[in-house]
Amino acid sequence: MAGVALGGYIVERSLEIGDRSLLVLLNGLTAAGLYFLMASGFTLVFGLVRVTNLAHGGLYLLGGYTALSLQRMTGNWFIAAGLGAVATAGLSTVLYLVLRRVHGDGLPETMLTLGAAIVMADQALANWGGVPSDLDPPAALRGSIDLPGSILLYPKFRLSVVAMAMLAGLCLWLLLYRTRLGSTIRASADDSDMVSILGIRVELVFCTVFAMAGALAGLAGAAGGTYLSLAQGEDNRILLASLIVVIAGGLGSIGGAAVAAVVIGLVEAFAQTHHAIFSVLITFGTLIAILALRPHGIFGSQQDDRA
Amino acid sequence: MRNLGAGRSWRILAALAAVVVLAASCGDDDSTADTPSAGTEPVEAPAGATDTDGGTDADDSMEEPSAGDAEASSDDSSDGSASDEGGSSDDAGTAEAIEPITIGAISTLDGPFAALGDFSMHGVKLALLEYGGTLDGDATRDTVTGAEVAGVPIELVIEGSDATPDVAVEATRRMVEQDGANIVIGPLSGDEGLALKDYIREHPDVTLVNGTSASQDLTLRDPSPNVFRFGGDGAMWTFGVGTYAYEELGHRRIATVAEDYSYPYDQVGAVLTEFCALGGTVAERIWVPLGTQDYSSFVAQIPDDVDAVFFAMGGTDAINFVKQYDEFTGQAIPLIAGPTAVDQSVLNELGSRAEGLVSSGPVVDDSGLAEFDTFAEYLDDVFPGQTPNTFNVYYYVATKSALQALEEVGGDLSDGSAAFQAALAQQSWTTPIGPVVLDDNRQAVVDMYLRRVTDGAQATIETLPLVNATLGFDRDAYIAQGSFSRDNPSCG
Repeated sequence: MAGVALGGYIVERSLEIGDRSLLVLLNGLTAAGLYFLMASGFTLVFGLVRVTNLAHGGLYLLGGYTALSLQRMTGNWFIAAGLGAVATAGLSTVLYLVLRRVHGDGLPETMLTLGAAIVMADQALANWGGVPSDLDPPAALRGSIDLPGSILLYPKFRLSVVAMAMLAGLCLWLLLYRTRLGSTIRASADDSDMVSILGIRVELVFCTVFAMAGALAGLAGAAGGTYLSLAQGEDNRILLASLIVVIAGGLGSIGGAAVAAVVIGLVEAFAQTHHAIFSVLITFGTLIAILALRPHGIFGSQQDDRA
Repeated sequence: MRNLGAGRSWRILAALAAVVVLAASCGDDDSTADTPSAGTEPVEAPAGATDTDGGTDADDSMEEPSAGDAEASSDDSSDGSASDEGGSSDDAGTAEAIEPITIGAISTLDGPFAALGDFSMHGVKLALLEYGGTLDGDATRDTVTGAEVAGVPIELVIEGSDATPDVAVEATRRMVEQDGANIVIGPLSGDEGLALKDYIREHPDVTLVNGTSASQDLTLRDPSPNVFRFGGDGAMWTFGVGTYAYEELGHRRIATVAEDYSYPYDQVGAVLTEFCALGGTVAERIWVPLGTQDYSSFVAQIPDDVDAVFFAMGGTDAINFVKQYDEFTGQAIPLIAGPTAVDQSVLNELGSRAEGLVSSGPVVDDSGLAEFDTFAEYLDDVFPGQTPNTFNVYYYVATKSALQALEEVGGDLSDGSAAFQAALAQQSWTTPIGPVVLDDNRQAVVDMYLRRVTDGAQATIETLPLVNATLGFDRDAYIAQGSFSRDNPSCG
């Protein structure tokens, strides 16, 4: 039902803006791509260890800044983004090792991640300063392509963010549903005690998931730092956006994160274009509508309440 | 290991987390305000310097400026290390323990404008150094000691805000009520200025000399007798652009893109007032939330058939907007900039995309004024690598105006600072950016410059002499049209 209402809204607006609809659609998908990169890691961690990782935004910022420094050193975007993702994967693993000490205790865990988020934001400010900056896109993705029917162009890099998110989604799906590690991860999410009894080192699995989530956030930071910019406060902004996506999609569901990222991204883009003043209201309104119809999110299920 | 109750509590947890993040992001400036240490450093400072100012909170600094210090510093004064300005004699300094005068400086040392806060404090410190002070250290919150005017020692207290009015008022309250600041220099941003005007009105013996707050109504409507502004406001900074766009560039129909709060309203209002009076029209006024990252949806709203796009934004927003506008349109429709969007403080980050942008504003790099060149040299001497921009120049002019007035009254702040405030209102001197005098509302009448970004610097197109607060329009009519807003002026 939410989908129908949303679809109706989109169609109506598309008619109204005519040839701009393609542009707005692409804007929405770009935002969705970035949101998905963030939300997939977030939701993965939550699904497995039931930790609301509020430091996820900090990982985004540090990943972006690390990539920025590396790009200035090496001049290569891919190396910079890759190593940045490796760095945040490491950082995320360290965060897990600390979290493990209070594992199973929800509130202290969340507070701990909040503290980590503040430390990360401050480190970013101390090391990279308050002046905003951005990465240069790789040479092949620089520039823009023509959009038919208007003077507007579309930057190639934004399109590749969508591609990057789809690739990441595909890899995650293959990993989770086509590999042994994936089935172990899913099994641990369902019942980690049982998996542990079967002789599998569950903590290693948790560690891997945290590293993956960190890498995804770092990659998102490099992507966002390229087509948007890196600045103080970006960590909170992106965390809030990905939290909306995760909650709308259903906590713990990768598929839900993908669908919700597209829905939220599109709604936001259309709202900003046509009702700029109310865009925040409309975005949150969508979340409320989704939760009213499906209290556990689009793909969330009651089974999380087992116990 | 997961305890069995965890499954049920996840919903509560998620809700809690959402609330926490919401709060953190709505007031995301607040979260940085909790952590002053990092934000206080100049951008270039090595990370290792963090420890030096880690504890410089209000509580620490308020212990220092006590009466006991006065004796020591007044002894120094006999060495004749007074200002190079010469000025008045020592006859005011006969008492053994002269009560020092405390100057409180406030700027945005945390949050999104932290870098601009650094620039402002450079300006304040330069002025005090001219009066015999020495820098305590390189960090932004390190004060200046040893300065004195007419034999009266001057203490400097530094406070930071995060560009939000309530934090600015709180910081000023600390300076005035705990540190005993007699003169407050600042603040940086528009809405902060309006909030401080209301606060300082309740403390008539304290004098507020504005830094760079460019809100029109700091002085234009309902002025407070102890608030002084030695620079332009947002509308004055944008003076001449509308006329130039119509007459010289031949634009007839424009769109505007600006942040959604009072200061950009003033800029857009000033441009449209001139542009529409000549017969130009505005096709679309697009207002974007402050701190927007992704401008794609707003760029999409710009009509294809306008002659130019006027944009008014600051700092990060300007950098993001220009970059994305460039990527989306290749600047097919020319941009005209607001004053802060192409201020010298962000030109570097804007890079080649800013080349050729026309704007109006208070500071140009080629004015040829001897005072400007001297200032630029002096700034680079004390803070190597720094170049003049609106923030360091304006804070310098504000502080120096106050010090000059203090000197004229021999440091006498008795009778609720009456003599000092009268002298301050009479200040008339040639600043690094041209002559300044104050009108009856204690608002400066100053030169503005129509300028174009050329080779990464601001080159003068035309000097606009002695711009006043009503942009040369009839004062009563101008005030009667009301504060600029989203749809005022109507420009039908």
